[in-house]
Amino acid sequence: MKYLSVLLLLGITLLGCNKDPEKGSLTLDFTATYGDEALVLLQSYLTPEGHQIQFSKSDFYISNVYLIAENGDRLDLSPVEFVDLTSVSTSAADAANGFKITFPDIEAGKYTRLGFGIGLDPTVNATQPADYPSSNPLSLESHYWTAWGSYIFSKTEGFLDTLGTGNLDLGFVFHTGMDDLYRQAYVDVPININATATTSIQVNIDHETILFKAGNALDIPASPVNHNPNNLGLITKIIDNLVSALSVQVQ
Amino acid sequence: MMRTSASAILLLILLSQCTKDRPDPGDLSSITYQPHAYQVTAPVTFPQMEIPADNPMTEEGIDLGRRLFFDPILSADSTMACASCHLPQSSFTDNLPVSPGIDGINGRRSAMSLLNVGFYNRGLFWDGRSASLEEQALLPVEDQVELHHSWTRVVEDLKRHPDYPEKFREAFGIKNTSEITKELAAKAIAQFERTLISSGNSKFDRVQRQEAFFTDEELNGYIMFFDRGSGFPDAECAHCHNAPLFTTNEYINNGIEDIQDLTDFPDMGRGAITAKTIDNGRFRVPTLRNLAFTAPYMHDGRFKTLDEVLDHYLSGGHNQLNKDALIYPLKLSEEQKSDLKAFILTLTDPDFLTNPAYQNPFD
Repeated sequence: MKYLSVLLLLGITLLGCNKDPEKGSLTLDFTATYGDEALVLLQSYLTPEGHQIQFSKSDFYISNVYLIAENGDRLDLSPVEFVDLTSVSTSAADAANGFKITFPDIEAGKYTRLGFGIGLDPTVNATQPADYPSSNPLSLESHYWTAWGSYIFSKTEGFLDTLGTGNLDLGFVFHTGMDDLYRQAYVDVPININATATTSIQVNIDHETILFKAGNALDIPASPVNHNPNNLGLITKIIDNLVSALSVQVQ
Repeated sequence: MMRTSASAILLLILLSQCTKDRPDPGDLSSITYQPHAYQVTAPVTFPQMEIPADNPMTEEGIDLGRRLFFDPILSADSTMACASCHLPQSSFTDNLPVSPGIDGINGRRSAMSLLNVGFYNRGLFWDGRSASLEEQALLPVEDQVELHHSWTRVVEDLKRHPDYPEKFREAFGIKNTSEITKELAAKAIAQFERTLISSGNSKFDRVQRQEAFFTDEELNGYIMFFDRGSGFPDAECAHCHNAPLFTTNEYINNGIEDIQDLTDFPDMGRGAITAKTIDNGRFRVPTLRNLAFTAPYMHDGRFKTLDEVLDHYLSGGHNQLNKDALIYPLKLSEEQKSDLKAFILTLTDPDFLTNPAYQNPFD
């Protein structure tokens, strides 16, 4: 009888082991384009006016990255990530490869939504780089602006030919930040996470849309440098355009 | 035959006994190994310093590192040490445009200040070619225009030295002098360098703690430096020199070279490391803390005074495709420029220079 109990207990334990769900991983592959062309730093593209434009920097924070499972459960993947498109836009090959962020140990199964914040939620934004060790993306001193008391959510920088002469005569610097500019983005697509292969989702950011979205285009020559909280209208336009500039493809 | 074999065996036994009785001159196991953990202390506004898991800081490791840092044993002719180009009284630089090595040959670049170097985690040297202090400390010894020595010989000298084997034992617990390596020497130097931290007594830091007040000029400069508004122009400084370290440790081209093509820079800087054209002419942004003691300025020491530096940035510099977009002609008056300089000088930290823990232990 005693042996039977032991065997039963062993059986239950083994059954418990078998119940451990399989885990897979998900890679978000951030790519940058200008319209339909891969974005390469210091390569010229054309504005809607036909003037040359080049980019020298593009990056942004995403936060509260999550998936929604088929049964409606939310699975949080990461509190904060820094998407450094500058580092992968130095050549066409690197640009095509994209900036990859991999989330391991995701329960295998079917998911219906990918979501994340653009920028940082007010709780996180109330902290400072000095609060974090250097391995944390929130430790970047280059992405904190003391005058705002805010992280810089995104940076978009480059040069513009304002006169159409072929001379890139104007530098532009657009930095966004502050609590009011935190945005949520999500996409409803079928996402299968399985234990045998990494699932990839390509997230593309169209920089033509960031600057020149139809009906919400920036007047760069009128205000080429903006990191001023008193000009919220301009940076609100940029962050809203950034949300519109995202497109997603599950691979 | 039998007698010969017996003699040979006896001889072997005797030799074996001799070996057992003779003490190993390299044996350090009788020396106590009880390292004392060292806690990094920094101004409260500073970020957390990350210490490599394989090189925890100890008082004994720091003491050894400090000795090695100041000891010319690291150079081929025993005339120069790390401290020859990184002097405590100059905020650990040498006040030369570029630094000469033991053969009198000038290097290409100015010695960087080591103030707060333990917080810099995005590459070291002007071009970021070393990822850690442990990696960095290995390079000057064998650089032909610096200490022009070989680590093999340095390590042999350390093994034969009357004091160092004991110091290595106390710092790292080695059991025998044969275990002294260049990697351990570099770890010790790195530990010492991680202690080189601002005192927190600069005027800026005291104002932050509400223990002091800016003058009107300093306050005006502060507003322009950090773009706090109030009707003053933005001097665009804090983008690259953000508080509290007053560097973001990024690599930028600040427009000091009058060249057109990105392949024409006389010193490719970061580009020589990454092999990316866009990085040509980019250099690591240095800290502005203790700027009063670190002239001349820029990677090649071309600007002798802080006024020359400010004039460069007000001019907007020379244009190249990869010049930082925030360096453009600034419309500051002479008075505003003077105010900006007054603020920058509030970052002066003389207590750092005289900290007894940073001085030459052989003096």
